[in-house]
Amino acid sequence: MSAHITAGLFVLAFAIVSPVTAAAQFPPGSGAGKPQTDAELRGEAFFVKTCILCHGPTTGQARVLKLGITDLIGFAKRPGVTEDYLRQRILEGVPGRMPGYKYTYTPAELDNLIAYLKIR
Amino acid sequence: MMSRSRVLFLALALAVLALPAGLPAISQSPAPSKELTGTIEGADGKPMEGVSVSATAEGSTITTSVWTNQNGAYAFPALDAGRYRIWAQAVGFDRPVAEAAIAPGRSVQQDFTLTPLPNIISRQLSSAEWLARLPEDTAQDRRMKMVVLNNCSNCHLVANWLEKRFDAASWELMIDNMTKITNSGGPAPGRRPGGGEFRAGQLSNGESANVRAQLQLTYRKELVEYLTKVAGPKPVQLNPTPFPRPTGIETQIVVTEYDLPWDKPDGLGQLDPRTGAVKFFMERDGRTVSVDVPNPEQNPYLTGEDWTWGTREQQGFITGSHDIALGSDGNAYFAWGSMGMDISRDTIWGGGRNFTSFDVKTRTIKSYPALPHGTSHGVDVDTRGNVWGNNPVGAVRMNIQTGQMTEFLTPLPNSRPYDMGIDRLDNAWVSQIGIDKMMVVDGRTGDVINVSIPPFKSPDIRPEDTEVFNTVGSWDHNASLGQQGPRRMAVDRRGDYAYAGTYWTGSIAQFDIRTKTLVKLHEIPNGRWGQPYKPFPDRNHMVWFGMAADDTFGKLNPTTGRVTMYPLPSRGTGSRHLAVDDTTDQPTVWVPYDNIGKFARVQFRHDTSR
Repeated sequence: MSAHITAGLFVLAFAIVSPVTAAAQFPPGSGAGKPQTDAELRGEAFFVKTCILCHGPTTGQARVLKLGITDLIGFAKRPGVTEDYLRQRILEGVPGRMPGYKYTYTPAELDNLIAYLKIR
Repeated sequence: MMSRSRVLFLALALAVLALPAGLPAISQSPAPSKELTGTIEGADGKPMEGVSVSATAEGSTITTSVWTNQNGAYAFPALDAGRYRIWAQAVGFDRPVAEAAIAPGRSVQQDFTLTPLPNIISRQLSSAEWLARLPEDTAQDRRMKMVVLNNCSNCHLVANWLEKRFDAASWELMIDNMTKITNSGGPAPGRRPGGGEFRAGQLSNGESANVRAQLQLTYRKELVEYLTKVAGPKPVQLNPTPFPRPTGIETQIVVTEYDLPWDKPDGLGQLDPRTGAVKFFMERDGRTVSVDVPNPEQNPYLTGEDWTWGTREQQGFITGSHDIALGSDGNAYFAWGSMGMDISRDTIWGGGRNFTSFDVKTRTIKSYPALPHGTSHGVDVDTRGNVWGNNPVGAVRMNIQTGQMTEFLTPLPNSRPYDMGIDRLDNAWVSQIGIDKMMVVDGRTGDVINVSIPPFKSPDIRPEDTEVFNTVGSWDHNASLGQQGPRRMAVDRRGDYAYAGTYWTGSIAQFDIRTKTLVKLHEIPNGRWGQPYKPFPDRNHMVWFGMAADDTFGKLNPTTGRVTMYPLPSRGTGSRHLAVDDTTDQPTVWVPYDNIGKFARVQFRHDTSR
């Protein structure tokens, strides 16, 4: 492979991980609701700890995976998206698309995450 | 239509009108005062050494932290007047919080009693502690810790996902997705770093594997089994012995943490350590303009100040700064890629697709013509003022007088040049993380040689791992077992040595600039899991270095080999870069937190010259 192709691939890799290109992406997903309550603040923290790698729409990672991943902004307000639905999705995951968090979250942590998703 | 950055610029310019006219100046001396002191004891009534005590004023973006001495006593430096929140922390104990009003001339004593928790809260652990405490009963346990480190730690603080638990199907899904991600970029499929080819495996999406993905494919089955064991449906029993708390001189520091705004315009950031104010400089229509950037209070569960909230992903969502450069004006600069500092010429340098300079005195940005290849992480200046950067094919030098660009190719192809520095003889040193070699460009002749680092040895590395090392190799995000990984580096401009942190194996490599040979690998305590990053020699030839995964930083005395490790008061810092201010009485160390959006200024209450 020529040095130029190597360099091009390097630039691509750098663009994915560069802290410079990643700047100004917070709050994760422009237009996301701002947490106000303690539960929403805690939920946002869990969102950043667990969800944002895939549910950050501007990331190169989401584009590479081609899974049609959404940023979940306004997701919980859609018709049919109930609390039970969210809870089930998070706990069980989606085969081939999303890991299940049933061994990770305590009930209180999950409540906080859902509180945040409802205002996101 | 205005670009997003221009919209943000205008929005910030309007927002700043609402800021207070001036921010209070904070104390610049680390000397103990009587304003806020106290003692900390355990539930057994015994004094506790090495406990961090932090204080932040209401509405402030600045947090000051000190540590208790052998008598359990702490003393803050002089603080601005205000109402403060004060808290104390140690792994394995609760986190009491108090409030107090601080005023000049008034003494406040705030004592704490720390209650041990029934079990260590795993989220209190740094990534290094997590890895260190995973089982080591068998050779396979020990080997798999290396496999995890070498395949996962570049992009993730491992504590963030080790504290979660998944079944095998979920781990398999995540590893397959990570393999796809890591296959984008890096060398072409089947190309071995240093030359040659390997038989590329195939990903589930049909792509052929590059070296990074090939390593993940190689260890996929074992990784799924291991991760399901240590972070699966059944919780793993961690080694209950915590890392020791800091003692002695390790506790004699004052850390001032400055919050950085998470939403920033493009450009060069400037932090004024006297006030915490943040300004950005940028080019607009050929002119340098600046804007004050508001720094609103952040979600407290995301700031790392409470260790029980553990670590989080980096990936730039909470944007701190990967690199930092110090200006001759006393300010800290950030947010450019590949930053370099040239204090003697009052200049901050940035790399990328072209070199960019910032004149600290005139506050003027100057952009230079496009480079043949964009730079990676290193930018430095030789004695004649010529600017160097390392790039995917080696290094480039720009003649500051004529603008002429000269490239120096690495002796071996696909070596992943990562960082660089110029020695006092004007030789350029380039760390090549993909092949465990330093490239040295003779500044007078332009001749180029490689200086090798021997492979890492461990009885837990199997023959099949060594076969992978020999046939596939390593890159930046993934490495074969045995790879040392010289990543960030620096040169002692007043001395005779160059240094590089070995990212995968936990040492500081020391090279002699006169003989162009490896002198020694200095092993760093807990360095295997803490991952030494950027070294930075000070005026006394002491080598300061960041730790990517341990929420600590260290100092190496290269003459005696003595290493002193110092704590940072936040968890999940992801602190990689580091810079030293040599103009203060004791050198002052600056540590940027990439993950949680802060800078730490570390001042010392003891002699650091030995």
